[in-house]
Amino acid sequence: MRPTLPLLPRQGPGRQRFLLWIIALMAYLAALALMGVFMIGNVISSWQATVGGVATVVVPTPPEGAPAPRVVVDRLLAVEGVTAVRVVPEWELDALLAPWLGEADLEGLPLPQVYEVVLGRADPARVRAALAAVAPDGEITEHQAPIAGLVQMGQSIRAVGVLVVLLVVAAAAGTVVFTTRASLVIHQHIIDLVHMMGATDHRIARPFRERALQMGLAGGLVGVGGALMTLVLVVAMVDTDMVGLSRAAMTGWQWLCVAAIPPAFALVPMATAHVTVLRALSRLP
Amino acid sequence: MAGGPGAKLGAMIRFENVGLRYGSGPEVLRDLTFTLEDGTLHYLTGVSGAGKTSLLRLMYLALRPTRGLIHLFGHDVARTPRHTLPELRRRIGVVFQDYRLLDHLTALENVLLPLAVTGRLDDSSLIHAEELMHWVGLQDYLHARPPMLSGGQQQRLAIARAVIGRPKLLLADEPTGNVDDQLAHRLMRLFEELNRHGTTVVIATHNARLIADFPHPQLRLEGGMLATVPGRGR
Repeated sequence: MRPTLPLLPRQGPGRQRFLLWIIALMAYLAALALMGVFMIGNVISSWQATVGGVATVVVPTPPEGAPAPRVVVDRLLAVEGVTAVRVVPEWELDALLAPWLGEADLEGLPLPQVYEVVLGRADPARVRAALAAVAPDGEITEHQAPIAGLVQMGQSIRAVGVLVVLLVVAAAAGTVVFTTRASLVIHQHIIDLVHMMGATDHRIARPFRERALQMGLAGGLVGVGGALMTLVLVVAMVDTDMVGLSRAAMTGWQWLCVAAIPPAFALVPMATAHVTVLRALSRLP
Repeated sequence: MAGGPGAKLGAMIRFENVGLRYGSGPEVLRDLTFTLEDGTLHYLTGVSGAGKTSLLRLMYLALRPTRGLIHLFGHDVARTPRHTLPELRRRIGVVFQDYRLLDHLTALENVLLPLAVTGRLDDSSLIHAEELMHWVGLQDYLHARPPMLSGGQQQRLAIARAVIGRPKLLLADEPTGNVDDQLAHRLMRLFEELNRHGTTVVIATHNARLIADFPHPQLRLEGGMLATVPGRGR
């Protein structure tokens, strides 16, 4: 004899496989969408940190003399939120001009002072005011504006991705509700019988719960595995540096979130099945 | 034996002015008032459609009355919280008219089912179940599935399942409806043996010959109302 009695008969292999693939497909879509959300977020952060977060300050050097770099740096660093100010050295300026001026001797040319300001959370207007105080002719160029559109688009795509993840999880829960209700109807005679034998609602719900848990976990693992294989294929097929994928590399906690999809796909259906069965049983006397 | 509303409160079953209707239909049971004492054996009789099965369903708590009071094991069923009803149901064994055996379990597993679903399965359960299978003459069919058994064998299996939990109250709905006289007598002797061991038994039947051969008090239903007929002593 078996150590525990199976309250419900085994499901037919066809029905079981169909459900498994439905849930696996949903987990696959959820994993792809979640990875997309994370990667787009990482690219946006990278843009903001490297391009959008930096302003270029140019201070002309008139004959009467420009302010000392130390004064400009100190004044800019005093602005709340500015995290770093770097004086661009002359050799870097030479290198920047080389494509236009060739290897000509630039000695004597009145090259401006150039600074890279890492804005952090600083208000650009305050940075501008601080610059005007020490160098009224100084100019500041922010790079945030040109990429603002891209950032906005990326954020919109990310929001859509989050919505897709939520919809897929809701669809998975809905599928479980539907299949659990169908299962309740199919096994109504067993439920009525054990209910009259004195089984508690939680005991009756257990096999439905366990079935949903196993199905969700298996489907989640298959789906996430498929999504990872898709990602590996994509990475192998494209030049990651060219398309900026290296900026999208996911962090440890983001991988953990993706790894949490199979348990989530197990727990959500399990809880859904449990609640569905308890609600149905509550109608019995 | 059956008694009136003045019977003692600690009785096994007490109905007071109980009525039952399904949905908005007419009352199928009306003004039922009776008491079944602990350790008695009663027949529940009446023509088909008289309400025997409905009355049994009220007794095994598958239905709630639309009016009146039902006391079971000293509990007012209407006032008993739903979450405590399973505990009351465990004291009741039911032999259904259609047996309600689970085809995906073996005969032995079907007998063990009431213990398994109520967390009472232990080391001695298997031995007890095998003894019961022997008692009902199915010792050679322990691992057979119900569809492989005859109607009479399924009937006896249903009885074994109903008594495995040592119920205080055994309710049997037409337990001899589909068996020949010889088997019907054998099943009745099983019920009487259970009754001698202290189980209160109610058997719904319209088998007049069986009632004549094994006389016990009767609860007769007529048109949804109860007419109590005292049984003859054997």
